[in-house]
Amino acid sequence: MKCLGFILTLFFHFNILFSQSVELPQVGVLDFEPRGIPTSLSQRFTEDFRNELEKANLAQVIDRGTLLSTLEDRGYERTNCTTDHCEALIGKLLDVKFIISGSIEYSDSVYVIDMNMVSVNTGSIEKSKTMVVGNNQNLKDDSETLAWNAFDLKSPQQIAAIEERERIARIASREEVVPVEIKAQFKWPSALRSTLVPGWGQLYSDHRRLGWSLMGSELALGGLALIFYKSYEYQLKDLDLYNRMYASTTDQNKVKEFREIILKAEKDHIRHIDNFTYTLFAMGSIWALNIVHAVIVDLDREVSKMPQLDIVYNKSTNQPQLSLSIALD
Amino acid sequence: MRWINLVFISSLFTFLSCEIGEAKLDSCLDIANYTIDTPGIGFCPELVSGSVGDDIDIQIYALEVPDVAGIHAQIQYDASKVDIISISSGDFFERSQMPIFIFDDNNEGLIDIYTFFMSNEMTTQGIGEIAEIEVTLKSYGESEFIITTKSEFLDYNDVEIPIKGFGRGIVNAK
Repeated sequence: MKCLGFILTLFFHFNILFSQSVELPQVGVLDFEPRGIPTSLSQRFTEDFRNELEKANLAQVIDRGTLLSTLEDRGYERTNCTTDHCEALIGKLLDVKFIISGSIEYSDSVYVIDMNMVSVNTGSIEKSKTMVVGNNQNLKDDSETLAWNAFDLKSPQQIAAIEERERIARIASREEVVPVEIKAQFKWPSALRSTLVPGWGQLYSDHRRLGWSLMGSELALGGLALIFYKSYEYQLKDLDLYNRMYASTTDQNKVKEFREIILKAEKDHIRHIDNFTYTLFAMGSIWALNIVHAVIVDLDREVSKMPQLDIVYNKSTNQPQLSLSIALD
Repeated sequence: MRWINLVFISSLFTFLSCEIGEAKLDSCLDIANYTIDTPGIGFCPELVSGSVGDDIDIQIYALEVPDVAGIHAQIQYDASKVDIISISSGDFFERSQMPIFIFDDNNEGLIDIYTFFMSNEMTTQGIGEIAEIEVTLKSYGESEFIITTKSEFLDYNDVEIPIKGFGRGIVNAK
């Protein structure tokens, strides 16, 4: 039984707690006075302002129709009622706590919105706000913001903006500035490799067939040059030997014979030197061409990284135009 | 590391350097080195250079002479440019029996050389050195040594063998 009593007591208290609601102040919102703007714009602003007050549960708003009919019934003209005292009287007629009025003025390319909240009890201005807006595109947002600010509250947009600023500030303070180390990429990788070993640069730059051809040619020519060089060396030794035999002999027939042999050896020896030289020239030429090709490949790679400029046809304008594209890698 | 580069480069050049071989065909026994017809008497070498004051050897050769037993070589030279120091016998007639060798220099630019083969073979043939003249260069410029037409080849019977070539040698003093 004790337990049942406790549960009933608890239920009773919760019932009382949740049945109580916050009593919102009743307000009457007079149309904002247009100054230099169309009336429809100020009316729309006022309507947005009212809607936001209601939607956000900031106040109980007397709807516009009731307000206007009450004023007409009592013989008041809105345009004639511009003082705080008059507005307080209207508030009393409407039986509201506050009367909100204001104006929207357009001058010097900006909209200046003034808002006054007059206390019906005291007949004096309870709150006054002024907003300056750059363009009329955001007037709806501004009316919402003004509605919140009228009750000293921040609008959701303002809260979101403040939070975003704080988040950015937090990130900025937390993040250390890490210097990005940009290594200058070596511009001539293929050329350097081809200079060291013919064909290596081509293999590096994916010109594999050419790379192997160059390497093979150089190896073949190198082998040939070595053969010619060795032949030349043997011929030189022979020539030296025949020279000594020619100089030392006293036999006239041998002298004639050695003369012929020496002349032939000298001719062969020069032929081998020439062959060796031509082979080296061929090797050098291929080497030089291989370097030139590698340099061109490197230059081509550099050019491909540069902004690309093209002439394209623009379908929307039906005109040719220049197109600039930059690779981001 | 620089010394490694130097060693590498120098060894590369050493490995690949080409010494140009040369045929040294300057034997006095080589008939191709003479510019005269044969049989004849010529100088070896035909052109010789030296500085003033140098001593130079000039060899006189019998060229492709058939069966010769005696030689008379008359040499004309410019006495104002060279001094004759000595004249010696060549090896053309040298055998077990030494040849007779006589010369006469009049110191005015004319030398007569007489040599005779004295061995059992009686005669010899071919190419050989008759005499060697040592001279001193006195003044700058070229001077000529000329084998005159009074020179003779004689066979065993003292019959003259016709000479077709009379040599000319040039000594250049620098």
